[in-house]
Amino acid sequence: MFACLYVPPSPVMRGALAPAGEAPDVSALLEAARMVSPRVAARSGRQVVIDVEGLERLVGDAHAIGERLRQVTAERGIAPVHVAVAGTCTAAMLLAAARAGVTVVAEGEEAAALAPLPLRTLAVAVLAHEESVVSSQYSVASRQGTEARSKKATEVASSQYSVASRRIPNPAPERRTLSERSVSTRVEGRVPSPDCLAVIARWGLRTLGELAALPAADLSERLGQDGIRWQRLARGEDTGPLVPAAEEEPFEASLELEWPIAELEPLSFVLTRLLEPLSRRLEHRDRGAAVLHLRLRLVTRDLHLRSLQLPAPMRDPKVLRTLLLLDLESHPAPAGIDAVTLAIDPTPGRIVQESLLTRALPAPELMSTLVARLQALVGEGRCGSPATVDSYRPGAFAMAPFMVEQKPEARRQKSEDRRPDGGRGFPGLSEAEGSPGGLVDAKASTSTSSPAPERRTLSERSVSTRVEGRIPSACLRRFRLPIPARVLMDGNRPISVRTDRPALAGGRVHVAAGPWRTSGEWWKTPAAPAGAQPSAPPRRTGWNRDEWDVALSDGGLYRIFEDRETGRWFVGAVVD
Amino acid sequence: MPATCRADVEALLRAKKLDRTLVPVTKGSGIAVAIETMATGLTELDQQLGGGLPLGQFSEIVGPRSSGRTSLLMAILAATTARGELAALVDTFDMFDVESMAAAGVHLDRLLWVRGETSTAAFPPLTAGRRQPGADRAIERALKATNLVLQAGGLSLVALDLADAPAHALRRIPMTTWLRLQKTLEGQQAAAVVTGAAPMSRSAGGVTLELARDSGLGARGSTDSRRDWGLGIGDSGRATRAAAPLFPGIESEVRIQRARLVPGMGAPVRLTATALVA
Repeated sequence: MFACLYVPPSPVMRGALAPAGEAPDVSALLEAARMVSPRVAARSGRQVVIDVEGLERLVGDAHAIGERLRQVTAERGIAPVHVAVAGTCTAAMLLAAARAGVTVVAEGEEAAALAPLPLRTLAVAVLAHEESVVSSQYSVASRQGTEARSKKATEVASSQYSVASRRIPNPAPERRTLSERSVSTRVEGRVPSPDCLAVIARWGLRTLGELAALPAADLSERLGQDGIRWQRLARGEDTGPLVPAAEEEPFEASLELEWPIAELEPLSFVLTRLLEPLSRRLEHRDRGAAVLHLRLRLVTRDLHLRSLQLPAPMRDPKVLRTLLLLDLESHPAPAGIDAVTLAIDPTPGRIVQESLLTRALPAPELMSTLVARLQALVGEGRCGSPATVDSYRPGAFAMAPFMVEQKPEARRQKSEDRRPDGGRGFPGLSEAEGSPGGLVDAKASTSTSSPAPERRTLSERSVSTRVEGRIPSACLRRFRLPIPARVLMDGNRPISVRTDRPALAGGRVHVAAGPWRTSGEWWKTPAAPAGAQPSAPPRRTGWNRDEWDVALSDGGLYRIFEDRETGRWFVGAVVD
Repeated sequence: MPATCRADVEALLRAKKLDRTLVPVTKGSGIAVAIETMATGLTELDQQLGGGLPLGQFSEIVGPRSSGRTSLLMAILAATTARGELAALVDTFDMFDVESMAAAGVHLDRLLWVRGETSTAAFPPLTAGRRQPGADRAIERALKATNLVLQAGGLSLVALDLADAPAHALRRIPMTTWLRLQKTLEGQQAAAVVTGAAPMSRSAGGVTLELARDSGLGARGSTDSRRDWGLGIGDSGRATRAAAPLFPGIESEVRIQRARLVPGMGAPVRLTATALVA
C-alpha cells in the first residue's frame, strides 16, 4: 500500500496542464513523510510517495494513515496538501494529483477509482515523473558533490545510479494476456512520450477509464510501446518498485573531555573512540570518508580546525586515526584540548577489481599513510608526484598528490614487458589482445621475446658488451638555489669557472657550448607583500640569462649561466 | 658427505632467515638459486646482470660526478614506471630535475618523489667550516624516509640518492643503519638502488654498478663549439638549443664492480645519454 503527498500549484496555476511552477521545498515534504514511514521517495518537487505497508498496527487503517499524513504536513506549515492512499504507487500519485483532501482507495479498486479522472491528470503525473528523473539525478549528483567533493566519486556514484535505474524490475502484472505481457516487458524503464498522449486526446478520449479500456494489442499497433505505457499508467499499474530516498545522515561525533589534553598520545585514544563507531556506520552504509574535519576546542576557548582531504574513500579507523595524528603532528594545537569533534564527509565506497595478470598496486590507505608520514618528516609540499608545468623557466616544476591508480595501458605494457622466468605475477599467463578471454600460453609468447640471458654463454655475453646502450637524455641535477660563481671570459667564451664551495671548486673550461639565451615572465609584476613600503623596489619574477654547458677540469659537466640583469654568474645544474 | 653438511648449513640458515644473504652462487657448483630480478630497461646491462637488479636487495650505482649515475637511475625508473609499477625516489638534497625525468621517460604520476633539504646542505660555502650539520641532517632524514617507504611496501623500486653527499658525512652512517634497511627490504618484491660517489651500502645479494665517463667525451662538442659559437634564437625570441651548437651529451661505461649472485661479469657496457634539448 502506498500513499502520496501532493502540493498543488498556486490557484493561478491550478487547472493548467503543466505542473511546473514554483515548487515547494521537497525536503520539507520528505521530512514530514518520514514522520510516518522511513520508506519515502520524492517523485517531483511537488510529489512524495510513501510506502505505508505494515503501518496499520502502528497508525491504524488507511484512512487513519491518510489523516496522519495530512496532520504532519499541516504541523510543518505545508498546506494545502493532497493526500491519497492506494494499492499502487501510480494510483496514489494520480489520485493525489486529481483530488483535494484525503483520498483512500481500497486495494484492487484502483482502476475503478481512476476511471473517471480526466486524461490530463495522467499528463500531470507523467510530467512529474519526468521531472523526478531529472531531480533524482540532480539530487544524487548534488549529494555526491557534498559528500565526496571529488569528480571521481561523483562519476562512480552516477554510474552506480545508472546501474540501479537499469535494474528496476517490473512487478508481475495481474490477469494480463500473454500478448499484453510480452508487449509490456519491452517497455520497462522508458518514459512515454507526451506527444503520444496528445494523439490519444485527439482521438476523443477524455478519461483514464476510456484509455484503460482500449485493447492493448491495437493500441500498441497504433502508438507503439508508448501507448502501452500510457495505458498501464491509466490503469494505475506501477512500472517499477519504490526506491526510497536515502536519508541524509551526518557522520559526526564529539566528545567533551573532563581534563584538557595537550599530548598526541592521549588524543589518539580519544580519536579512536570517536572513529570506531563512525567507521562502523560508514561500513553499514557502504560509504567511505572523503574528507575528515577535526574541530578541537581549546582551553583558551579558541577553535583549532583541521580538514584532511583523503585521496581515496577509506574507513579503516586505524588509518584515519594515523592520518589525523600525523596531520596534528605537523599542525599542533596551540593549547590544551577541551573538546574534540570529528565530522566525516561520506562518499560511496570504493570498488576495486583486481587483476590476475598484474601485480596489485598498494592500497590507497597504505599510500596515504606513507605520504602523511613522509610529509611529517620532510615537510608539507615536499612529497608527492613531480609534475611538469607549462613554462620555459629553467627547473620549473610542480608537486602533485601521489595517487595510486593503475591505468589500462600500463597494465598492457607491464604484461608485455614481464619476463616469464622473473617470478613476477603468474608466469604461466600473459595478457594478449585479440585472443578469446585475453589469455594466451606464455610458452608460445616466449618464442618472440628476447632469449633468456641465463642460457647464453660467457663468450656470447662478451660479444654484446660493446653494443651501445642509449639513454634518452642526460639528466640534470639542479641547484634550487644557484651557486654564485666567478667566471673568466676569453672574448665571449668562458675559460675558467670557480666557486667558493669546497665541494664544487670548479676549474678550467675544457669544453663549452653556448650561449643559449632564455628569458621570460619579464612582463609579470609580482604583488607587493603586505606592509611593503611603496618606495621599495619590486621583486623580480622573470628571468633573463645566457646559459652555457661546460666541461671543467675537475671532471664535471655543469650548466652555468649569466644573469643578464645583474651580470653575475651562477652554477645552475650538473649534468650527470 | 660434504653435500650433506652443506644442506644442513643451508637448512640452519633458512631457519635463521639468513639464506637470502649468505648462500652464495658459485659458478659450476650446480646449485640453482632462484634470483628474482627487475629489468633495468637496458638490454645489454640486463644481460650482464642476469635479468636486472635483484629484488629484495640493495644495489648501488656509483661513480664520480657527471659519470651518468643520475641518467642511469632515471632510465631504471623509466623502465619501472613504464611497466605500470610504482617507484619512490628519495632525493636527499632536492636536486632532481623534473624536466629531465620527463625526458628520460619516467611516468611522473607513478613516482613518489621525496624532496629533502636544499642543495646548500651538500654544498655549503667555505665559511661554514668543515663540519656540515645540514648534510648530516639531510642524510638522516633521507634514511628515515627510505625506511618509511620500505616499511610501507607496495613499491617496486626505491631509489636513494646520495650522489652529492659529502664523503665524511656518509662515513658517519652506522653500518647497522644499512643492515636495518636491508632487513626491511628482504623478502619484498622490490629493488632498492643507492646512488653515490663510492660503494657504501650494497647488500650481499645486491650489485654495484660503477660508472666512468668516457675520456673521449666532449671532443665533438669541443670541435663544434670552437667552430661556431653562434647564438641560436628561436621563433619565439628565446634561444633554442636545437639552433645552437648542441652539447653532445655524455658517454659512460658501466662496469659491474661487485655482484655476488651474478654468475659472470663481462666487459663494460657503454651508455650514451644525449643532451637534453629544451
